[in-house]
Amino acid sequence: MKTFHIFLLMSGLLISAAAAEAAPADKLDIEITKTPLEDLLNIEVTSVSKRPEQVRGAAAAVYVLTGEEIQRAGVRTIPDALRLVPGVQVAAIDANKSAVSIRGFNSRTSNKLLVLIDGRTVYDPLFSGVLWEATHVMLEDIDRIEVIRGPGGTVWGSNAVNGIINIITKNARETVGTYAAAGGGSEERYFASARQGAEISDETFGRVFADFYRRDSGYLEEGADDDSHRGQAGFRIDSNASERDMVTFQGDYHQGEYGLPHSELRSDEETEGFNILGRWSRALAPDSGLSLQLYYDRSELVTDVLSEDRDSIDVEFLHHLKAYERHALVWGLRYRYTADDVVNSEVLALDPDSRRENLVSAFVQDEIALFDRELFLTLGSKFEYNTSTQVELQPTVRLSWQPEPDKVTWAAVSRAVRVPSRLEEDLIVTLESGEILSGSRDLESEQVIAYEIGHRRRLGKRVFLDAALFYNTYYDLVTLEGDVAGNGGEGDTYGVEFAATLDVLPWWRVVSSYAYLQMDLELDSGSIGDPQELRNIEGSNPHNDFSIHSRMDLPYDLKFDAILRYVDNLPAQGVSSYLVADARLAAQLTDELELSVVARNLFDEHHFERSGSQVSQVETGVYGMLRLKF
Amino acid sequence: MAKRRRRFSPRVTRIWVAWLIISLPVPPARAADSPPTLEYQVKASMIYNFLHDVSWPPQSFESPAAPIGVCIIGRDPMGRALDRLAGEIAQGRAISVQRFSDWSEQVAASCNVLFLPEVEGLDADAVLANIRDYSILTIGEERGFLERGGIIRFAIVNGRVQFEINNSAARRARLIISAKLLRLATRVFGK
Repeated sequence: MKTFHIFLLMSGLLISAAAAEAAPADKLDIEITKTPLEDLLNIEVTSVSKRPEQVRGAAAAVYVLTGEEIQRAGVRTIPDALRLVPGVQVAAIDANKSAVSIRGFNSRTSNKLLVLIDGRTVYDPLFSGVLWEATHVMLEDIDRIEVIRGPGGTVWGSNAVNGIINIITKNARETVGTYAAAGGGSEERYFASARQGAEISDETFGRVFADFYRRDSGYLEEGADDDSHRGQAGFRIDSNASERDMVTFQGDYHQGEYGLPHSELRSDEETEGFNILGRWSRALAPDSGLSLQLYYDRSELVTDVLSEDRDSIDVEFLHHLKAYERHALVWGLRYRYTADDVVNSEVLALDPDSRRENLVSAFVQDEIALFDRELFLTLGSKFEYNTSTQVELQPTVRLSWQPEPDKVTWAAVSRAVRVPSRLEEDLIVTLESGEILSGSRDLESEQVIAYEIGHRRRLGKRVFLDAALFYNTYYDLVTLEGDVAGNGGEGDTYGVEFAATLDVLPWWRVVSSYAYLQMDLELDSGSIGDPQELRNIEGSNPHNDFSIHSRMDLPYDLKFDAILRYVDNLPAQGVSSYLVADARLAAQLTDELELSVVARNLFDEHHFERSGSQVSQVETGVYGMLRLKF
Repeated sequence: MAKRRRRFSPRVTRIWVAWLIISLPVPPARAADSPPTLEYQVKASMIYNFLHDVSWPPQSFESPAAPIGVCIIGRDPMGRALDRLAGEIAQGRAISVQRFSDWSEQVAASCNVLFLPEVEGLDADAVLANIRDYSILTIGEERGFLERGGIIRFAIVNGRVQFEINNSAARRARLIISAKLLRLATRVFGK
């Protein structure tokens, strides 16, 4: 008995000694003398966003692509920029349309992503997906693209089942002066952009911009007609109205025309739209603040088979605060009204041809610091009411352990839902055979329970690693049950995503990423659907893909970037794997003028990335570009 | 058609109850021990980075072995984040960290970098006026800091710490700021 007490005492001492060692009292959030300046500039210190945490400490699979990385990659579209993000699958359907997905379900109508531009939702409720050809911002204005893989349903809006892509443009304060760029080449026929920024008054900055491009068609032996052009113009004003208040006011107008590879079958797709957004945020204390955002968005889509006009109004209120020392609370309210009018055709029709929807949601999330701020427990849920499926609950539990500033291990379990799209509910398709397929108002939301773990760490001064593993279980996936839409699919997906940054030399950085994905879907016991439908979904996603991006700052103000990209074959699409390279050389001719030459999709004269009746091949392309900044 | 419904059971309720229990208030940590805010950790780390991207004239240092002085005047919001710099090497010199309550000739003699936080009771203007003839990298936070002759100003943009540079003030102080730093600055005055 006595020995037992001694044992208890000893172990007590050992545990407290270990605890003292594991938790040095002077622990800080960042490595003061080891963090590169470029990284410091990207750390959010006072949060005006929904995530009052830094990306590196986040208990989620977060990846940030900076504006500079996008410039240096020589890409001209957002989907092409997203090819550099680990775990994001991008396939070109033709020379202007893309299929973008995270963690599976890749298609033109990939419907499990939430995509935002400066806080404005850009996925179309018509099909719960994004028309990527119409989703563009002037590339030089991009501050960063934050990609969260996995369900972000708790804090963010619905549709964030498999991930969030958040495109953030620069504050007007960062764009004072004149900027102009122009270029052209074989695939990027020509493009031009111009921006003028100014300090309007003390602590109020503004810019106006315009952007235009004309892109060539893709490759087909018989010739393809999928050339496209798009123009956009807009403004942004940012004001530090007071020491505590920040106000943003921005808007843009865009118009584009996008050809199809076989124009003899269908005429061009056209899009047009404008939006206007205002946001006010106020810091209440270093750890608390609130923000209010309001926007109006108008979009029009015209195609041979279906046309859509849509108006949306969205109001969002957020409040984050520190409570009882160890709680970081965020809560918010959102209201969204969206109304559409469609023009039906003989092939495709929506019944009714006009619909108004209201969505009300609230969320609350609490991050609790435990064990001397080494362990963080995050609990939260979103409560949503929408017109089609009524009340939806999307909770999450996250745990992150951060023993050192640059060493984080995290795990999460979450539930997220995707509300049926307008097409899935109201569609009526008349096939050539005379058979009629229709949507259903009885559809449930698709659901996912996602299990994730991840680890991020800096090794010495030169290496940064980020790895994530996920296992997702889906229920109620929308399938075709006979000739009516139903919730007949279920199944599991799992995979790994890996990113590594290596600072080989002060002037040479190599960023690489790899993703593995496996999808096992099946019809549930009561389904009368066709198993082939799910086989096609599975087989349209690459098992493996990787990219390596080398960035060199050479003497004489030269910058050289080279990217190697590999994407596995897609069995259901009959598409083979491909390995291509991109390269960019830029020379700073004077302080104001930069000349660059870019070659993309080298090694492979042309390759398919999807199959179907309206696809074309991606071709090797070269373009030159001049940038003027003063 | 079969429907599968997975909704939340009483188990979920138990999870919320558990959450309520762990979220009960606890006594606040000792204030003296609280670390500097993330904002000031980032600013301290930036100052460390600046040391590698600015060149001082040789006469700024008494001897080749003299340390490089990083100083702060006024109430110090950086605390132990700034202490992390002490003893590290920059420009081939050991960094010494010193704190002053107000301007004195001693500041001019021992500082190569001077941070002037935006705190009550510190008149950055008066310090800048005194410092004009020295090769000291002045770093501030207030609006108009650069217009009044400061060299680098921290500004919070989109919730992140950014910096602006007055390069003509740097030249007047005989400091050379690297092209990299000028490129990373949100704005540069007096290119």
